[in-house]
Amino acid sequence: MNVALMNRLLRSPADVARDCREDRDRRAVASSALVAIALGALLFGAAVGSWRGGAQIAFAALKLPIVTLGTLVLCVPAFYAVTAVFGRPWSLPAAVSIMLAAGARFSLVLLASTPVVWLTINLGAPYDAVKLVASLAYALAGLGALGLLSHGLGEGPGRIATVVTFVTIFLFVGGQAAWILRPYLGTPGRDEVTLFTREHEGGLAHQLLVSLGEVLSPSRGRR
Amino acid sequence: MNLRDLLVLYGLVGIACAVAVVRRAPTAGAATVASAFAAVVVWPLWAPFALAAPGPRVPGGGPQRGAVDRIERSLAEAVDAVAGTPMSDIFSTKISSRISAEVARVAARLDELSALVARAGFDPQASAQRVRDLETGGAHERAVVTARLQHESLTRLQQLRASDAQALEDLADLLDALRAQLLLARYSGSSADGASAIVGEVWARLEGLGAAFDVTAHERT
Repeated sequence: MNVALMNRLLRSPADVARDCREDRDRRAVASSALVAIALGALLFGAAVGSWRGGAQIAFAALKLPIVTLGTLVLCVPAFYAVTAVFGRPWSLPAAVSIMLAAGARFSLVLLASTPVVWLTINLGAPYDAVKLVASLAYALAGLGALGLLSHGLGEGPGRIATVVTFVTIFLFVGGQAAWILRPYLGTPGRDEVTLFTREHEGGLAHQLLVSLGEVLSPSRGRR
Repeated sequence: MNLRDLLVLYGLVGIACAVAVVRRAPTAGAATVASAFAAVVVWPLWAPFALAAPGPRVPGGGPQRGAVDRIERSLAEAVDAVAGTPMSDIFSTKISSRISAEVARVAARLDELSALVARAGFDPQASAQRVRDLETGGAHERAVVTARLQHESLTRLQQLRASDAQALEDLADLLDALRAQLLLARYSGSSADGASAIVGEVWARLEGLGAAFDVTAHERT
């Protein structure tokens, strides 16, 4: 992993994004980004899994890189198409390298948040508090990635539409991927550690609709 | 088609990508193995880079082709000269690749500039003749000014192309000197300070070339 490049990703994302667009060191950006994404998600997953401890640390450390990289893999065609539709007909390597650079920035912020999550768990925080802290770390990392993505798109019409469309797609795909591979923290109230949950609760979208129904019409939701 | 079928299909494409990566690799090392592994697991993210053509190349026949060939030869020999010695910190394969990529980019843009200059309507001699024709024909002052402006721009473009082509030749000479310096340091056991200074000079010249191109690109837009 190129440390200087990681430093540039954090400090001057616009420069890295421009390099990706103009085909300067794209391969180096891609390889370093892949390592950073896997490593950041692995360590963050291990920290999250430490709430339950034992095998859950390894399970969460294994699953989070799969979720992150899997989401990027699934979103490549969408990003390529969305950028082209909104006036940026880039080559595939240009689109992928910008996506990877944004993913790497996401992982670096996640990595920086890992000690906070670990400390929260170490202080004996309950399930919901850890879940909240981990979600905040994800949100912060997402903002970091969004900054690079926005720079990567450059000036011109269609920039906001591209960001909104892609982020919507990314959130749905990433949310569903994370949902399928849950749990990461462990299941509250149960001591057993499982790689995947055994409950069949439908997909993320279904659960969101159920929760929405519960909020809007509590009696109907309870039935 | 269920999820398992999709995963099998994904894996098969990944394996095909990995085979292609290994076959294209110049040497079989840890980097190739890592690249092949990444091609199996995340081929949609890695294959566009692992299987891409190696850097932008100058189309054959360009006037700077000779300089680029010399540079590439010098870079390869310089890397060989420092292989397995402490001097590999001064001139690593990574540095060589970056210089090569930068040179290829500069050369490709030079080629583009050459093609532009060679196009009909971009001939400074023709534009000079037009200025003379307008002046002697008693054309309106505004038309003469426009023709002069056109002529000056074309002349400047040609001068820029010539000076940058010369800069590329100078860079090739500098890299020849770097190669010689590294070979001398390797076989005589002397200090590689001279080589270090040359590497710095190479970067400075490349930056100078890049800056010149940025100005050119700015003027053309």
